[in-house]
Amino acid sequence: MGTLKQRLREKEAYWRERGCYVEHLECRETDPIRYEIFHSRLLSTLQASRETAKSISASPMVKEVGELCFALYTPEGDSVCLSTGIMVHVHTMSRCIKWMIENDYEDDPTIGIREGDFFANNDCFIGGVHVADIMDITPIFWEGELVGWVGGVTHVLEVGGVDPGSMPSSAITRFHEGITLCAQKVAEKDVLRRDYEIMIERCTRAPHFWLLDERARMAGCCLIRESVKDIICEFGIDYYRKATCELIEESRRTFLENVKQRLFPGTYRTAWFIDLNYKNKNMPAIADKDNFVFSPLTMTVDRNGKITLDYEGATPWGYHFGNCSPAAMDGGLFVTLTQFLAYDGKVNDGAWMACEMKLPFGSALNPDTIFAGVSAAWALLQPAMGAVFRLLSRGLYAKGYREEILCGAPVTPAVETGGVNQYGKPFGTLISELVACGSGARGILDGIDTAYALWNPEADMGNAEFWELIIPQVFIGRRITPDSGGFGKYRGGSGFESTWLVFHSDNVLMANLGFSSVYPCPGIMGGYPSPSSYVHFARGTDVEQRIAAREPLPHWEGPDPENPLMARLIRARELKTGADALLFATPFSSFDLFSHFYTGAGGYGDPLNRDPGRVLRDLENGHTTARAAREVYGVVVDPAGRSCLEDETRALREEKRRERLRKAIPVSEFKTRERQRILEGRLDEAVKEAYKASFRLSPSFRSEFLRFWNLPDHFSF
Amino acid sequence: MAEGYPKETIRDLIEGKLPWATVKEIMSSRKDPDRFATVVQIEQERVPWSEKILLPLAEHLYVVEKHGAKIVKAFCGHEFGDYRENWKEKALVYVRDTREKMNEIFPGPRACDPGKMHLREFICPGCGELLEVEAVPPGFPLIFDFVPDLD
Repeated sequence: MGTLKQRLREKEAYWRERGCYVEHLECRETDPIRYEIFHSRLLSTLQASRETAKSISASPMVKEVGELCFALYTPEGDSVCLSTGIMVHVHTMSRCIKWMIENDYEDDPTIGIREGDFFANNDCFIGGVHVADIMDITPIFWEGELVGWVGGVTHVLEVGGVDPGSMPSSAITRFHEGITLCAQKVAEKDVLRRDYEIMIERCTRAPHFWLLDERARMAGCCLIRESVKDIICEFGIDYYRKATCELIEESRRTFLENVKQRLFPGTYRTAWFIDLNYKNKNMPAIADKDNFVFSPLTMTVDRNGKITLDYEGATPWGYHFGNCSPAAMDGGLFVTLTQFLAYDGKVNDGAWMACEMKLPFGSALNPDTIFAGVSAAWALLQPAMGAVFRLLSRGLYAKGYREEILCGAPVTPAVETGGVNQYGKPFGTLISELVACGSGARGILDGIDTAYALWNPEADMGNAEFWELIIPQVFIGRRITPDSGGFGKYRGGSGFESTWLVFHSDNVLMANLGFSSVYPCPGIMGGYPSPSSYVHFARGTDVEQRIAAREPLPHWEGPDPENPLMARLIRARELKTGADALLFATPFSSFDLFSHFYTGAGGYGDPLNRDPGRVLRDLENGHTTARAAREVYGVVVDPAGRSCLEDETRALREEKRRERLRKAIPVSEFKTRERQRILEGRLDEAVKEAYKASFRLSPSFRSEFLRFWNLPDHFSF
Repeated sequence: MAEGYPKETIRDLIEGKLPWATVKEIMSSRKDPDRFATVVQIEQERVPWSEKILLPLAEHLYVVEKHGAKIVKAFCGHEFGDYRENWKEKALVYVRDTREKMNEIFPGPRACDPGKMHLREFICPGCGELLEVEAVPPGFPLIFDFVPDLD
């Protein structure tokens, strides 16, 4: 059969020459029932092993939130079949396997690939999204020959970085992010190496969670490996080899057919933007600046079903936590496809192979150094893939499949905490209830409320009580945040807010990774974006006295974000409300308070077209406020809040449309005014810097910019 | 469902009137191959004008054939011109570029920094419908959302 590297080269050459994974689907055509049984056997073993692994981990991230996934690969590293969970990693693990093959792990006498070996990786430039996601990969041998790989991944709570938690907020390069495992052999003959365990025990703040996660991944992989051997026994090795390749090819063909059926061919465009405001936040000089990061995105859908995504114009990578490796972009695309066009039948790398993605080298989406900080790569990946959601939604709309529209993904804030816990031990974690945000609106109904994450189609926020077991904070509030999804005929799904009381520890750090300066989740076709983020916190409070006096506490923000309950009820040494959502690790003590909300995503359609009955239901269920009902939706509700007043609503909506026509100006007039502003350089400094940086990397985006605004060739900011 | 749903079912579906259980069933079934033709037919019956719809472009907007040309036309009848040119150029726009204007939609801290991002609300000149909301930094070129391949 040749070496793994030779087989990989042969596979690549075959793909280049024939444009498919295999030409004939013999197993499928000869005996489709047997073929489907074969697939079901693989699928069920992956899913069952995932559930078993979940029970081995002790981490709420895995047990409660379900942040794990397993996949089966060909010898060349292409995914054949996968479990549910954080599917974003199905393709990142594929990258890692290919990397090991390319780097001669098989022949290197100091490494080698043998039965029972486990390779752990969280190096995102080998294959991964951010260091928090640790993958284990083990080979499957049959009669001495490597016939496949199994990979398992979990999001660990703590990675030993510059700040506690799994996404160190002030990590500006790889060197701040914590332990990086570069496809490292951590187990032999199914036994974990003790020296590896020692490293984890001595270099992370919550080693027991890491090491139990490690056992969960290994156990899942072992179960799958042994089950696959049973399947080979039953079906024969030749059948196994052929059928696994056919599953990939079938997925590729199905995907192309789905695209042809469901998307209108053409050119689709959008752009995404985020702010990473680091200025005056005690960062090293090289990072002491406000970053504005963006990328245009062009998607072309051709008549053969091929999708090409081009991020030409993306801004360069920078010294912040939010760069993204190409592997992460691959993973993001994979999990996006599983939610739109490749969610049924055979879900594997075939769909991914049918697409092409162009990532400008040197950009934040494809840094020209492996040292770029990626600890919160999702900060980019969410808007970059949310943009794909919006473009696919336009294609689905044009073809009439409006029930499949999902106009964007939430770009959620994240809370990291650590320090000394209630048991007097070091701790650190991402509080990953952020998995349960609101989705973008759909084309015929509202977005999903408090149950959506881009990276894990099986989103679950986890029980508050489980989190309280491991952190010295108690949830004194967790509830839906009104108006947290984008307004629209169909609104974005609602997010929710959590309020924590620090308890039994005077040594706690809390950080929030969010965006205050922009709306990172736009709507489409008249729908608004979801709101910007912020935090409320109080340090040195009178909460202990209030509890003793049985006085009320701020369990939620209250109806008015400008005057939150925390400000109205609490006296504190330091009280910050509506504060910048990018908060680096800040010390908190017992009886201090911290609160923020997880966003929803964009809305769909003109809000004035929203069914007034839906607005009333939203009022009753806490999804919207009386202010938004009247001002944004133009709905007049009776004083008791029990019914909509139809005539008054119709009149208010007509008046709002007339008002729009009175206040709006022709676009040509806006362009003249905006052009002058550009010529005079009257733009925010971070925005100007971003344009300049984008132009340096992309002469074509610069040309487009100059052409659009009719600016002279010599123009520069 | 391989052959297609009754037109009434699709009409109810795209108007958001189908119960969730039915929507879910449609989502979980094989897609009806005649959907495009059915939706175009439904839209053609809804619009108050007679030009042939080539495709629904977005809520309230269609690409239609008129005197041999392919143009973007609104539900209300307003015409934006050749579909290969960005219809936004012929629209009205309201730009939310101050805190005060932002606060009408997003109160207090929920509003973005208008220096870093503004909202461009594209309004149909014919009827005041909100057609699109761009959330972009000042200076960003208008986004040409979609050019269908009609040739």
